[in-house]
Amino acid sequence: MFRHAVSELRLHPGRFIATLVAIAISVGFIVAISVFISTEQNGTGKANSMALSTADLVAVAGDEGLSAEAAELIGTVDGVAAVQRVINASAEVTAGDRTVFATLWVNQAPEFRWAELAEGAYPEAPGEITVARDMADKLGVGLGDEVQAGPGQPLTVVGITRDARSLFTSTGYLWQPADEFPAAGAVAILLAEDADPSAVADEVVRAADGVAPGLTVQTAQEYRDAALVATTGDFDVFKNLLLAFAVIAVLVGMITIANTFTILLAQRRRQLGLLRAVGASGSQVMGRMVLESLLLGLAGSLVGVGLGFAVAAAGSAVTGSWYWGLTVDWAEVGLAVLVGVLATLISAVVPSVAAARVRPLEALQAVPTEAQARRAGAVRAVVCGLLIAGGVALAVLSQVGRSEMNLVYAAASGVLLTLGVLGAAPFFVPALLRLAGRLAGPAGPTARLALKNSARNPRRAAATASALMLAIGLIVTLQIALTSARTSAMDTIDRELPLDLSATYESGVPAGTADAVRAVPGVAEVAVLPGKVVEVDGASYFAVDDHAARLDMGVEAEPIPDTVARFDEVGPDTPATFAIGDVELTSETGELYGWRAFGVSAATLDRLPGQMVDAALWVKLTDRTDATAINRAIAALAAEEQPDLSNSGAQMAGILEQVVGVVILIMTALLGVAVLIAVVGVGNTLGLSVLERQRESALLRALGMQRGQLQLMLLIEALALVLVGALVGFAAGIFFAWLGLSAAFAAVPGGTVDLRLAMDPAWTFGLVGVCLAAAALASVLPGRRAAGATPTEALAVD
Amino acid sequence: MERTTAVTVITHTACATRHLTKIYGSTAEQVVAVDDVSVDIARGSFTAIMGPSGSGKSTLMHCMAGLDRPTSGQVLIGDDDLAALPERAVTRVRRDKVGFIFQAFNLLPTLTAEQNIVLPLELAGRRVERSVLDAVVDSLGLGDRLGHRPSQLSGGQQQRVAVARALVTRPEVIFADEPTGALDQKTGTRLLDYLRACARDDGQTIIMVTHDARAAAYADRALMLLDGRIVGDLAQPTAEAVTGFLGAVAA
Repeated sequence: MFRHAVSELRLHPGRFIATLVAIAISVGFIVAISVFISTEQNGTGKANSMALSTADLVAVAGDEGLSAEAAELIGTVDGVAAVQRVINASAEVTAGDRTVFATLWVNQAPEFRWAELAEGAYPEAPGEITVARDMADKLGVGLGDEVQAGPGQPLTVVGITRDARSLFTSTGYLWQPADEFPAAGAVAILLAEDADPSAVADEVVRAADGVAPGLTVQTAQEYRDAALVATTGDFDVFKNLLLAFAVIAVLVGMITIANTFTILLAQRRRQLGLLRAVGASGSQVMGRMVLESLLLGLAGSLVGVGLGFAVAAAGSAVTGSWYWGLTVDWAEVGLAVLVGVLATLISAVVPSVAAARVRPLEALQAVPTEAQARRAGAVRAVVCGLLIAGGVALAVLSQVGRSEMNLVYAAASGVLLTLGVLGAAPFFVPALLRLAGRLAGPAGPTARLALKNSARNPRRAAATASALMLAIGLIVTLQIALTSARTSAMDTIDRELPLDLSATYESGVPAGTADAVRAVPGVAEVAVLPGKVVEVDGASYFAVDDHAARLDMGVEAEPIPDTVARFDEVGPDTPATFAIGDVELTSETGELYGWRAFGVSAATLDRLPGQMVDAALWVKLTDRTDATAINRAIAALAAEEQPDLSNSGAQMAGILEQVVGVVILIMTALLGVAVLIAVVGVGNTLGLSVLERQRESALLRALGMQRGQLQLMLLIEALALVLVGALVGFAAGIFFAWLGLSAAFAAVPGGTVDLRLAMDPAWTFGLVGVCLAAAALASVLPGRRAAGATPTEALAVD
Repeated sequence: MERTTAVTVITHTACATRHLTKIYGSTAEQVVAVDDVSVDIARGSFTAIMGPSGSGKSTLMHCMAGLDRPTSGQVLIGDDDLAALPERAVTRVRRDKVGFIFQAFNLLPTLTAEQNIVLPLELAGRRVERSVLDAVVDSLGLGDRLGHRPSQLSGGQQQRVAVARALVTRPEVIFADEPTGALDQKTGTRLLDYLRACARDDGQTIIMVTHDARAAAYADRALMLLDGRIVGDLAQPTAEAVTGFLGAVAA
């Protein structure tokens, strides 16, 4: 039996290739995620504990931290050769309009340094910085250039190191006076030769007892292991998120595999009937099918493991974790193989049960019965009807009332509707294909034949299209949900934060700043707001007049009445009414003016005491989501003095735009794997149908159909299947995106965000276009095969 | 001389072969399936090609119908030499000038009877002449079956749809490959009667490949094939004559 199964796979490899590809992609996806995340986790953990890679012992401080004096005291303990307080800070390092997120290590003693210098030196004075090579590259700086790390003076690059790159952060080194850092979290200790680590550890704890209570001492290895474990939690969340996408890929893969087996078994009916006729029992036939699927699942999974390793290796080479080597959790890889084999087995079992039921005689009739179109069962209709009815009911429920349950109802409705619609595919997919056929009727016999062919086997067409529906439906749901969320949020930002950038300075706008900002490319307009420094309840405020600026910028807001002071937000610290000199003012909320500032009318400002100064800058950008322009404008605003940039719509919009853009990209890429598998399924269905229709192809050739027409017919079949799958997925995606968002927004307390359905046409239509192109490609090989049928085959009687 | 022959072909002959040879296989193991056959088929004739299995009768028919390429020699349908034409042109000749009736019917399962019948016209982009279609359909008694799919028709009905499909293009010549092979005797006899009437009354040229002597008796000429050569050419054959001839040759 085993030999039979192997020879079946060996003799007809072509029939199984699509299944193999589907399994390999699914398993490869899981393995890639597992290996990549493990590698990143390991790399990040190692990078985090980098500082201690040169130490022998680590003294971890209690709650109060370790002072420089305590570190000195530890340094005097017998057996300790050197000590180093471990001080680091996370900061955004910027140069021009480029930014890198980095961990900066402070005051490293030479014996504790771990990275080789590539150029220059380590920092030896305040204002100097040494950066890792990748940071220098990303920022585009070299020795002698200036960078900015957080607020404060710019730093001069004095050296570049060969540090390991990592996914999220880069590395840099600073020198700062020790008294700027009163407390460090840990002290790295180098042991003298011959010193006993545990004896020294005890001695250190004793010596530090008075100055550093709660101190514990670990070996550096123990400390690194603990650090690695600490990073695991963060990565597990990430990994689980990615695995959710892998599950979708596996599901789509299973639909494809089940479909393939169904077609293969239909084609092998005679072979199986023959087996039965020569005395094989039903269970033997089924056993053989199961064995075949096991072998296939195993082969596909192993290919997938190779694929996954390759992808993970490529990924970690990009992030830089490759430096630490690939980290493989073999148990997870084994699990992925198991998933691949089981998915294949489960997908193959149902068709196999049907195959085992083939009666010996039925399969051996001379002229094969052409009636293959089986009616979708009544049971299916009832079950799908109930699922859809339940889904609709929950969808309605999610739209009434405003509570957090709305989201739960919407999610449950989504699951029920998805199952119902996918299950009902055999009912509506052929109908849609027939409709397409009717529309394409005047297009000639080729198109008409193609559409009839694609609908001839309702279950098969439905299964092929539903794999695509699922994949495209999910992508479109996510794309539209994210784009709509972005548009809705942008809408809210536009309404509540009409200014792109609003900058207030502690002592007025520095001279020249307004002109500097005006010169920045991407800045459309700059308005200077006149104001006076006033005192309210002992604190100093700017009272500004925004009338002219508001007209210039086209900011729509009610003009401020003469007796009103408009604050960003009237909080508990803000007096409801107050007086400055002889002017009585009432507070209200308006959100335009920034920290320690409020707006008044021009007339009121005139009556206030004090000198008129340039109080604030308002900036309007040509495109408020243009990150480069925002960064440049902010850099120009901060050139002289760090401003307060509260209530700046552009910053929020820019961040939102970037985040949503990245998230859409990643989600589309991840779900793209599922689409890929679904398209493989389309090619597969077509290829297998062509095998089955060899005789028909030959007949059409005999009757005078040209090769090209036959290939065109296959192309149209592929496009029709993809188009139906894509359109249903598309429609479902729009609906689910609306359902989810409206439920989510309804659950927002106060309901301040209006839902705006939006779509990024480039993304969404691009996706459908890619699917169609892939389907066209998938029809090439089957098309060639069909066109290669010699007309004489039609006359052969088998 | 050459010229007169050509003129003769155009006026009286529906199709013909000149020194037609078909060799299968590599140079080492050659099988000569058709060996230097020259034959003229008169317009409006009903010809049976007979011979035992492996005699080359199917290969001869495939080459004459433009389904297969001869190794050497000429194949003429009307005034086209199929051996000299490129593949696309041969396909066009098949579509426009040749009709087929197969043993296994070979209808497209997705199309109704009527759609199957008019398929060759549609492939050619030709208009369906209603009067021609009605005449063919009526003569075959298929009037009430036009909307049915092949799976809803009996074997005899399916074969009649196939015959209608072959007739509706008014082809130069119809090739029938064992047309009664999958039919019971009564249905088969009726079909042969019909084909004979088509040739006699409407002048439709028909070439039928068969190994059944009784079927051959319906034709007005029987060509006997053995080892790729024509070894006998009987006019107005009877079943007994055919059987006797084959027995003598085979002995």
